[in-house]
Parts: sequence; C-alpha cells; structure tokens
Amino acid sequence: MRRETQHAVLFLLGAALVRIAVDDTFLRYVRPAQRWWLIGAGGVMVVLAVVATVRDVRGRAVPAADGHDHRTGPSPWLLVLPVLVIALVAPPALGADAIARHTPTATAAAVDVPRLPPGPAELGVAEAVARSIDGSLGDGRDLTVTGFLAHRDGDVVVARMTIACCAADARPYTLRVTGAGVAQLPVDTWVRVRGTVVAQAAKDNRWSPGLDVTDLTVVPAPDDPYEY
Amino acid sequence: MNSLYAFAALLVLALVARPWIVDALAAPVVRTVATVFVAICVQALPFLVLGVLVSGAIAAFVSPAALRRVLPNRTGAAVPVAGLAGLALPGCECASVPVARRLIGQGVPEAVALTFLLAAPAVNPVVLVATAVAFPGEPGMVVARAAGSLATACVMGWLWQRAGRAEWIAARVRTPAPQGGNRWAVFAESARHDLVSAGGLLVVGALVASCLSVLVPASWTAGLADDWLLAVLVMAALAVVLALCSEADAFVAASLSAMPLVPRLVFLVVGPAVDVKLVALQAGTFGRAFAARFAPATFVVAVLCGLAAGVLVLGVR
Repeated sequence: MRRETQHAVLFLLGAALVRIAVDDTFLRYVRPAQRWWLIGAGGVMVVLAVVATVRDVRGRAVPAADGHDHRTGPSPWLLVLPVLVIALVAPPALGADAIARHTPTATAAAVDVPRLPPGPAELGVAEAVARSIDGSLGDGRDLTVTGFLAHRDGDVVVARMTIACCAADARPYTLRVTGAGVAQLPVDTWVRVRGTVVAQAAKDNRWSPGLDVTDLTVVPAPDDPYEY
Repeated sequence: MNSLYAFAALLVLALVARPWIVDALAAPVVRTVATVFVAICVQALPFLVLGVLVSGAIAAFVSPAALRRVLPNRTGAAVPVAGLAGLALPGCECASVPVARRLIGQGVPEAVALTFLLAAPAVNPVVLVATAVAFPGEPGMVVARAAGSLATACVMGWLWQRAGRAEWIAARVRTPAPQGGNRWAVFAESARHDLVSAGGLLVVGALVASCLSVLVPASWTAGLADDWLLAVLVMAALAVVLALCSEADAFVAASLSAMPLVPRLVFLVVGPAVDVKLVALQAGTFGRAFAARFAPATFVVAVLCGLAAGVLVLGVR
C-alpha cells in the first residue's frame, strides 16, 4: 500500500474513534471510562497521519526504521474494515440474540454490601440476580427493573449485559417475566417493569429469578445499555 | 492505478452500496458478530497506540548501548529481569508486541524481548488488581496467576535461548532504527509504521475472535464440571479462541462459576500468552515462521505452568 493511502486510512480510523467517543456511540462497545482513551488514541492517529503527510509532501521522509516501508503487505487495508463498519452500520449494543446464545451466568454472592432494606425496591438486573442468590430478595418482594426483552430457553426474560472491558466479555443477567402482556412485545424492546418476585435464581433456571409483572412501560433504550 | 485511487473507489462504493450492506448485516447473528468485532477493535486500539508510542520512543531515544548497560550481560540472567520488567507496562497484550519488536531491533537478545512480550500483559498491577476484584475471597488466584504467567514467560525465554533460531524471526525486525538525524522524526515514523502494520493485523485477530466467540462456546463449558482434566483443556482452548483483553478475562473466568478453580486459572494464564489476535499480531510482526513455532510452544508451556501453579497454590479443585 502506498504511503499516502496508509496516511488516509490512519486519519480516517483516528477520526472514527474520536467521533464515536464524542457522540456516545462508543457506549455500545466499551465502558464509559474508555472515552478519554479513545479520544487520545484517535488524536494520536490523526496527528501521526498529518505529520507523515506533511513531511512526505515536503520531501523530508525519514528512511523507514526497518528499511522495508514499501512492503507492508496487505494488512494496512484491513484497517479500513472497522472504519467502514463503524461509519456505515455502527452495530447496535448486544441484545436479545446474544442473550439467546449465551451460557448461563451466576454471580458470586455479593460481599460487603449492606442487605437490601425491606419494602419495594428498584434494582439493576444484575444486582437483582445477585440479591436473589444471596437470599435477600425473597418471594413476594415488590421489584422494579429496567432492561430489554429477550427469549431464553422458551421463557420471556428482561435482560441486561454487564461488561468488564468491552462487549466481547459481556455476561448476561436475566429475570423471567410473566403477565402484563410481556409476551406480545417484540424482543429487544426496552421496558421498565414492576411486579412481584415469584421465584428465586437457581442453577436449573439459569440463575433467573421469576417476576410476575403488574406494571409495564415501554421506555427508550438508554445511552449506556450495559451494567457494570 | 495506485492504492490511493483504489481506496477512494472503495469508499465511494461503500457509500453507494450502503443500503445493501446494512441489509446484509441485519441478521441478528451477524449483528452480534459485528458488535463484538467493533468492540474488540475499539477496546484494543488505544492500547496498541500506547504500545507504538513506547516502541517509537525506544527506536528513537534508547540506544542499543544504553539497553545493554541496563540488562545483565548473561542472557539467562536477563530473562527473569525482563519478566519482572513486565510489571512496568500496564497495558494488555496488543501493546507489548510492537515494544518487543523494537527491543529486538535495538539489540536486546531475542530470548529477553520474548520474555518481556509474554510477561508484560499478564504480570502487571492492573491485571492483578482486576483478578483480585473478580475473585473476592480467593487471594490464591492472584498469587497463582502471577506465578503461572511469570513462569510461562521465563520458561519460554530460556527455551528460546536453548532452541530458538535467529532465522525464524523475520530479518526486518533486527534492523536498528537509523542513528543520527532528527530523533522526533524517527519517533513519529516508527510509531506510525508500527501502528499501520500492527493495526491491520489486530483487525484480523478481532474478526476471527468475534466470529468464534459468538458462534462457538455456548455448549462448550456446560457439563464439564466433573471432568477436571478435560475442563483444563477446554478452558485453555477457550482462552485462545475468545482473545479477551487480559484486564477483562478474570471477570469472565469468575462468571463461569460451575467450573473448577484450576481450569479457570489455566484460562487466565493462557489468554495473555496465546490467543488468536495475538498470534495474528506476532505472525505479522515477527514473521509466520516464528509464529508457527512460538505460539504452539507457548500454549503447551502456559497450560503446564498454569496447571503447576494452580495445583501448588490452590490444590486440586
């Protein structure tokens, strides 16, 4: 690949990283804390591309550090692929399809967290599952959660993913939901549901507590679809 | 026609064909693969940039003579020093490949640079803290992980010193950066060159890893809890296939709570040493002849070191 083309590809890739960091698209792929890393990395790419272009135009190219710059092979072309995928499609956050194909997940019982006070509770999906496993979310509890609808083993579930670094390490957490028309809505619909806990997380239900829904609101997808 | 025109044509074509491309990516499974692919790229590129800035700085500002002064004269003694030096680069595996490459370029013995390559992503404070957070109540995991990874890196270094051949590493790696002239220009050009060549390879690795991780593992880990040895092998293979960032793999290992502990430790020791995106990076940076020998050897050594560290620290569980 010619040097000019390498510079162009590098510039576009850097610009794409900065752009998804600024417009919050990056939250579909990585943790919020990555924003400044992405802006920094994209900025470095843009600067390196511009500096190299200016030096080439002025005819001051340094000899390549390894003397083989003209033979980079086909690999720089592949840098175009993430640019195109980001710019043209910007794939959505992981959703119902990822839930359906994932292995079961369990959390270790949360340590050092005060027990849930009695009364109605609004929790994240992952926390609700953890609370059910550690025994502090008993049957009959009034619980509200927000997540997207998915199908898992024939059950309708309200699901969230948690990520540690990026979507490649996402782990699913689900609550099996019944009642209030949950079965009529398409998967990947974001909902806020309120209901009564009717079953606890256990190995044979894939660590999915049961929730009998009395109140269902369709909500817009949040900017940050993951839990942490 | 040169590549700049080809590139422009590709962009125009992509814009014109956008509706069809979006349609083709509409199938749920394709969308999931695309999301994981972009996620791995977006996660790894900042670390790669950090790595090429360090590698560019080594090429431009660290002379071969200075490196020789810092390292012990005997290669055998320098290997564990390089392993411990891994503590200083808090990045993940993508960052250490260009750095190891420039170290070899500046005259560091290959065995030493390769030990650093394997140690840096596995034995650093960020990764060890992440492991401690992911396994509360199991401090043995952190100790065993550090010991297993450090052992893997050192054993591979000593193995290369005894059996490695210089001609397996592509000749271009060993050419030092030009001396004299504008140091900053050498820095910018080395960093840019390493970024463009390693970045493309990272994309290959991310593509393979995203396809495999979405399509393969759902049933792999089920029902293995009883067969301890098989679980070790499956977890080792899974580490290669999933190509997780070494700062995140502990959380995934922790979530597979039905698995015995030692197979999960093997997963943590193998992952930062050998995985599909790392093999792609190594093949492109050091040459295919190198990767074809180094990756399988590292895999075997990492499984054995992980097993040994696990059984010694954690017992058979």
